[in-house]
Amino acid sequence: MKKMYALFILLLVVLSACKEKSTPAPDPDPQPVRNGVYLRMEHLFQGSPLSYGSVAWPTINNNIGVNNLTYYLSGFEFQKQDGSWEKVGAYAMFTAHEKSTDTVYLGTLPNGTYQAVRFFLGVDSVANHADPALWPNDHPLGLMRAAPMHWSWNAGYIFMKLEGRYRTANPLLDGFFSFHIGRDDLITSYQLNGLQVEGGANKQYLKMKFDVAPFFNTPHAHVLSDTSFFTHSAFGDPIANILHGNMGNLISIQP
Amino acid sequence: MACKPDSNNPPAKTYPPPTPYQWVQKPFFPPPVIRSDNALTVEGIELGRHLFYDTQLSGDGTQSCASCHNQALAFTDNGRRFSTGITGAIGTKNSMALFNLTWSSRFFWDGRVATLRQQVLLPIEDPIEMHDNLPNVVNKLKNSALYPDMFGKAFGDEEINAERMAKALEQFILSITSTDSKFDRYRINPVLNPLTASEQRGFDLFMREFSPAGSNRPKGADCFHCHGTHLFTVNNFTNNGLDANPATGFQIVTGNPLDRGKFKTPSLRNVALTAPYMHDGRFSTLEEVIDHYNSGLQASPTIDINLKSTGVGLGLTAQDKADLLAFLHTLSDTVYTNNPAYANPFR
Repeated sequence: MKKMYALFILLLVVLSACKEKSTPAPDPDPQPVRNGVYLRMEHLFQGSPLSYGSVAWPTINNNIGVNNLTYYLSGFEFQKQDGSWEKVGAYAMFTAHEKSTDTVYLGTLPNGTYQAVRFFLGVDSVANHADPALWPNDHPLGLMRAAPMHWSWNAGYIFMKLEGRYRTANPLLDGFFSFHIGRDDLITSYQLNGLQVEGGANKQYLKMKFDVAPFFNTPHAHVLSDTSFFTHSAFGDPIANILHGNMGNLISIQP
Repeated sequence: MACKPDSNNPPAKTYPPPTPYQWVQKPFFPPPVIRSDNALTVEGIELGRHLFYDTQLSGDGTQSCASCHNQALAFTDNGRRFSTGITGAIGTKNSMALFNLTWSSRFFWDGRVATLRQQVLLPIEDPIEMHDNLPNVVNKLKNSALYPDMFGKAFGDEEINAERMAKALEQFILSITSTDSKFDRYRINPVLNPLTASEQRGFDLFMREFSPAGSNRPKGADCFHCHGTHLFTVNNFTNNGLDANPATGFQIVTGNPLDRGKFKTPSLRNVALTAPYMHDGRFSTLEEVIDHYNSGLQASPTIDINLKSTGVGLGLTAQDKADLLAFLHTLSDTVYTNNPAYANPFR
């Protein structure tokens, strides 16, 4: 019996020696490896973390639930203390419910302290009308990532897409809304001051927050209804113009 | 000692590394999506092509993948609504076209598998399709005169197993592209290869937003939201308003009731060849499909919001519909349907 047991142990040792080494599971949240400036975005509704699915967020007349918030930021420039601006060439696409897109690498800055950043909520006109197939597949503007954000031969990219549900008088029959803001003239410019970003070889995290609530009420009120639940930013569409007027109040610096 | 190969067996035959496949990059198409653990090779694709057309992959040796995926019809099933398996059992979903899948993720109409290598093995074991089992199929291949050498050339040694079989099939299917339709030639050189006036008008309708009655915007059929990009699909899952009480669809993957009734949006390339239409093949003709979007939408809680926004329908006239149809025919690609690289190697 002892012999059998010893033989069994020996067999186990031999088999495990022949086995291939197992590879470790990939790190689910790998740390960035490049030096430079990273933009980390937090998505909120009236200051609280944005959650998905439930129709819980209050707007002017309706509670809403968000199913999809995706948007582009582009044209980043950082202001030195002497007032000059340094450009970084990044395009950033954030999809609020995909944590993997919360942090985006913007690029490197020359040595110095930077006090402000400006950028577009949207895609600059040149890139907006370039052939999206020319970008690599993993690029935010490349077709494999951007297909749901691109209007093909129409008007370029959707700059910001907000989709979800809103509560109607009948709680069993939620309405759906879909706001796709695009077109060159509906790009939104931001300049955020009060930065303390150091250029050079270090990793720097620039923290911002994107709050959905002002999209519906600041400064223009937009009440969701059977006739106001939808825009694709067609020329002359008043809903797109109203919502575009609110888009300058969504993003701010995290203290 | 224990790890050494049995000295009574002849030494394993070794093969040179397979030849990397040279992808031909066509204008307006994205670069191919590389599956890094199954890079395309000439030998891997050729092995996959043989397996695709080999009836040994079915229980009684009468059916291959190609039995339900006919190249001449964009690899769909010969106009059938549902495919018939080796026992005569009839499936429940319409056979899907095969091309440009390097740019696709999630397979089957309901998206229930994430890779082609997973997808290709399921019909082999499905009792209402090819109705065999993988160990048996692998044994048949091992005992054939053809395959040990082909696996050796594709994978470096003659081992045959289900994973390698799936990877070879994946390579072949990923290599199938359709990039040479009339529309593609028009896009590359519209002066040399113009569309007719009707086709051009159909293209304009296809790519324009829906415009409600009374609007001063030009009329649009609003197809591009789901069938946009040069791939003619944005590779999403959509409830396109077929039923007021829709089938499960993508909900089977996510468990989310908001995904009920959503099915994979197919590319409209070669759509004139792939009748019947929809996941259940309910529409026999493209005219019926256009009529559905024009006036037959069924509201449900998860209907695509672009379709919902059309209200009572697109309001297309008979001429609009004819133009749209003319444009859809420009997406047929006979270079692809006649490409010998995709054809049956046993003929």
